[in-house]
Parts: sequence; C-alpha cells; structure tokens
Amino acid sequence: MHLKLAFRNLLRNKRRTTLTLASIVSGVISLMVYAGFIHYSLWGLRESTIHSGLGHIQIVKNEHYFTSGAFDPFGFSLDRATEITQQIRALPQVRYVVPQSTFGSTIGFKDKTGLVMVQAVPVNTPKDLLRFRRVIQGKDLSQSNTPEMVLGVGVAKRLGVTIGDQVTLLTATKGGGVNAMDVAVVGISKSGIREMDNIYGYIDWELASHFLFLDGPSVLIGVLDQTEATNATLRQINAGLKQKGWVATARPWHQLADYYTQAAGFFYALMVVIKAIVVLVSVFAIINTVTMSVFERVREIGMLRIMGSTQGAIMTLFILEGMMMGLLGGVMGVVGGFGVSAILNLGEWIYISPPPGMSEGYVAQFKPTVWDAMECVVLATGVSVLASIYPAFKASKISVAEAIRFK
Amino acid sequence: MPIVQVQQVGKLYGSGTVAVQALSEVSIEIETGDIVCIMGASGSGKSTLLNMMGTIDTPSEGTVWIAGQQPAMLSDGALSRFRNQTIGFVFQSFNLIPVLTAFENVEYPLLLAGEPKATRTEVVMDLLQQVGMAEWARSYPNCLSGGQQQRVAIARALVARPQLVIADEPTASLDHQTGTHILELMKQINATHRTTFVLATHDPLVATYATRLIRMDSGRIVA
Repeated sequence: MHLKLAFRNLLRNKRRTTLTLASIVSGVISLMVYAGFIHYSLWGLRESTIHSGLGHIQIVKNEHYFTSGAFDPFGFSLDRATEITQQIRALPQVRYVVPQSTFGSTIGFKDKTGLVMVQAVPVNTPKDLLRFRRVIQGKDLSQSNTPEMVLGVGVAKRLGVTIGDQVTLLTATKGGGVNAMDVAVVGISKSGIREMDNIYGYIDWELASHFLFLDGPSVLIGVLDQTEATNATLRQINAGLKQKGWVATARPWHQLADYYTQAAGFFYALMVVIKAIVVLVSVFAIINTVTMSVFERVREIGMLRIMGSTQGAIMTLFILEGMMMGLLGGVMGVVGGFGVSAILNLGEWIYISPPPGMSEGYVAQFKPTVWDAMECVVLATGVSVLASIYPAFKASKISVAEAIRFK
Repeated sequence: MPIVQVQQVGKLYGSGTVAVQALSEVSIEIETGDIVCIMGASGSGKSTLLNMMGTIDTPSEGTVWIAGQQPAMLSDGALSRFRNQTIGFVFQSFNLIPVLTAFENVEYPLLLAGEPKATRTEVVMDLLQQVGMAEWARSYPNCLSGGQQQRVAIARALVARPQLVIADEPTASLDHQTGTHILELMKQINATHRTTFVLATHDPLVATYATRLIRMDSGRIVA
C-alpha cells in the first residue's frame, strides 16, 4: 500500500515531479555521456599505449631494467630468450612475442650530430604492435641487405634528413668498444606523441644485435588477444619462469604506462567532481520537492496517523516517494544517456584537440557501459533516498492534532 | 466500565502572554453504546476535548482513559495500534486520502491491522454496501459529492470495528437531507454494533440523535 500511495503521490503534482525528474535525468545523462567519453578516451589511450611498442606484458632480466636498462642493453640481455619465448607463445591467449632492445646512440648527418634512442624490433613484427610508428613518408623497415632505419619526424626534421639519406649511428658496444654504422633512412614516422617523435629511431633487431654484439634482447614483449587477460597471463608467465628457475620477471603494461596512469587518474578525479556537482543539484531538487509535498499534505499525514500509521510508516512513505523519483529519474537518465551517446557517436561532431604531450587530436566517441548505467541508477536512487530522509523525518514528527487543524 | 474516562483534564496552548486555556478541569465518563453530543460555540473547547478522547492530543493536566488504556503512556507504535483497533474518526472535511479510491480509503485501516486481502475485500464491500457507496467503490474522492465522501469516511471509521467513534462536526459540510442520512446511518450502526459515538457539533439536528448531551463553554462543561 505504501508503494501504491507513494507512486500515486508522485503523479499528484505532475509539474513538480516532472521538474524534479528533469533535474535528475539531465544529471544522469551528463554523467553517462561523460563516463562514456572517459571510457572511450582511456580505452583509446590504453590500446595506443599498449601498441606503442609496450605490449601487454614485458619480460625482462630483473626490475632494474626499467630504471637503467635503456642505456645498458648488455647488462640486461635476457638469458634463454628463445626458451622463454617458446614457453610464453604456448599460452593460448598470447598472440605473439617479440624481442626488443633499446639503446642510445649519436646520429650524424652531414655536419649535424644529435642523440637518438634506437628501438630495435624484428622487421617482421606484426604491425599492430607498431601502430604508434605510423610511417608518414617513405616505407617501413623491411628484410634488406642494406641497413635501414626509420626516424621519428622530429629527429628527421632537426637533422634535415629526407628519405634515402644515409645517416651514421655511433654507439658503445659490449665490452666498451665503439662501433659505427651507416644506415639508410627509408621512412619517417609519427607516433602522435611529440616527445617520442623528437628522440626515437627504429632499426631491425637482428641489425642491432650485430651492431652492438648483443647476446640477447633486453625485453620480450608479449601481446595478448585481450587486454583484459593481462593479469591472469602475467601470473601464468611468472609462475612458469619461477618453475623453470629462469632469471627473468614479467611486468604488466599498466605498471609501465605512466602517462596512461596519470591520465586515468586525472579523468577519474574529474569524474568525481562532476558526480559531486550533479549530486548536489539533485539533492536540492529532491529536498525541495519532498518538503513541498510534506507541506501540502499535512492534513493527510495527520489522517494517516489517526488511522494507525506509525511515525516510521509516514517516514517510509516519503522516503519511498524520493526513492521512486530517484529510481525513475535514474532509469530515464540511463536510457537518455545511451541515446545521447549514440546520437553523438553517429554525428561525430565533437573534435578533441590534442591532449598534453600528444600531437594529434581525435573525434570523441561516447561509450557508456552497463556498469556506468547501474552506478548511475544506484547513485540517483541513493541520493534521492538520502535527500528525502530529512523532510520525511519532519513529516513523521508532525503533531497529529496540529495536522488535523491544518488548513 | 465506561469506555471514556476524563479526569480533571486541562489543556493549555502556548505560553506566557499568548497562552490559551482550551480546557479547564474537565471530567466526564461515557458509557459503551452511548451517542454523546458535545455542543458549544466555536472556541468552547469541544474539538480539544474530542482530540483528547481520540488520543490525537494529550492533556496538559489530568488523565484520560480510553477503553481501559491511558493513551498518554503508550509508545508511538502502541498508540498507533490502539487508534487503529479502538477508535474511528469522522471529520467535518471528510479527510479522505485523495490518491486512494473509496475502497482503498476504507481498506487502509485494515491493511495497517494486517488483515488478509480476502477479509479486507469482504469487510470493505460490506461496509460500503451499508453506507450506500458500493457502486462508487472504485471512485476517487474528487469524483464524489460531499455526502458521498462523508459516507465513505464513516465506512472508514467503522471498518476496524472500533469501540468508539469520534465525529467532529460530521454534518457541518452537508446539506440538511444528507446530514440526516448520515446521522441515521450512525444511529443504525450504534444500534447494531453498540458502537459508542461522541459527536461535537453546534447543529441542533445532531443533538436530536444523542442519548446524552454535554454543553461546553470557555473550556468547561457547563451542562
């Protein structure tokens, strides 16, 4: 009966209920659309980070590689890289494993000299791991008898290099010697991350291995079918390494992607602020509605009490009204949120400028999840219940005698 | 044993210079099965006294006993149950719940009492039949005339088989003919179920249905 009473009371003052619902619905739509935008942006950032040569899982000799390995490809060469690769490849969720070494080098062209970080992976590395290395001029590395190199657009620009030019790489080799090599610039790439384009160059891993006299790669990069399988696969790999007694350890992508972690933290913090604003607006709207409703129904409250309703029952009645409003507003907002997201996705109207550190913007897409929907409904309902408690409490405390006299 | 015992009851509203003494040293006993009519001018204290008997107000001094209970000593839950099971109310302005149909308005006290649906339906329809409102069971109060609403209000007051019915100006909003019908109905219920009625009014017609007449003036019983 209380549910029936509460529902019918909502329909009693349709205009006021509609206005309150509108504030809840618009708040929930905002949350859904914003959550959808964040999910899409972070998903895009996550996948581009993973496929920027990071992979889902990296297997290295030890943890120190991540702090000083880039300048010491010899000290961190993986023993038994072939066996480890075979073992990891045997896992069904692993798409492929590629060796990688990174080293610093001087690069010279005509009278110009600069510094470059050279990333070396096999030329036959699947393109989806090298999505970040979009060749914008020339071609990508290939099986060739002559040494080839792809340069980041910033490096090429500073050196004044064009396709077909020969550049000289000079670096320390194993044992402390120095080696130099002329390579042909076959391509110029753009990653979307300005800092990378300004410092990175890319050569074949076999070439690097001969150039530096490497015993093995510094890193094995594992790419999975699903990013979501990262943690489970990590556990399997580490257990396998431990079982075999091999000196190596695996780290997941999210522990290596500082930019992603910072961006995600920033976006989610912003989400909390937006949620707080929406909650605040909704709380005032609901408190106002329920308070007005109590004020208009003083005599009725008195009559319900006279018929035998307890104070608790009166409180329950008004809290139920608030809860229904929140639930209804939440559900309508969720439907609206999915609808608005779909329309925005179809229209592709919103262009997002390059985020800090990136050189390319993107068309915003909005992908709210079922989890977002559930969270919004629970939030709208919970906030409505909380906002109803005070006016409901006041209603329950109305003196029956005064309520009956109330005009 | 009297169903209502009011002993030396006083009621003071407000305090200091704005204090109003609504009742002073009122004592009265009402026997089961009586139809008691309390008469007096506006502000004489009859509604306040009725509120004391109806357990919806508490005295500033003195004691009130209803059906062997002292309502002022009951907790909210116990008092609510007591009202639900012992007392029925009829008001001048009917006070039906506008979002409930006539049937649901009458059914509400039984719901609170925890009666099963089948019993509720039977009892409610029987009462609506008795007050001539069965045909309008599914109608909302705003679709009913004043007389019809008062009939529904009487059915609601009687549905939990209360020992005592408190009626404050039950005919004041009704025309003479409808008022007479309502009073006949009360008289008939009184005769059938020995339900005690206490009515506050300044309508002389009501007084003609009373088995006992009490007059009030300035918060005191004068006759």
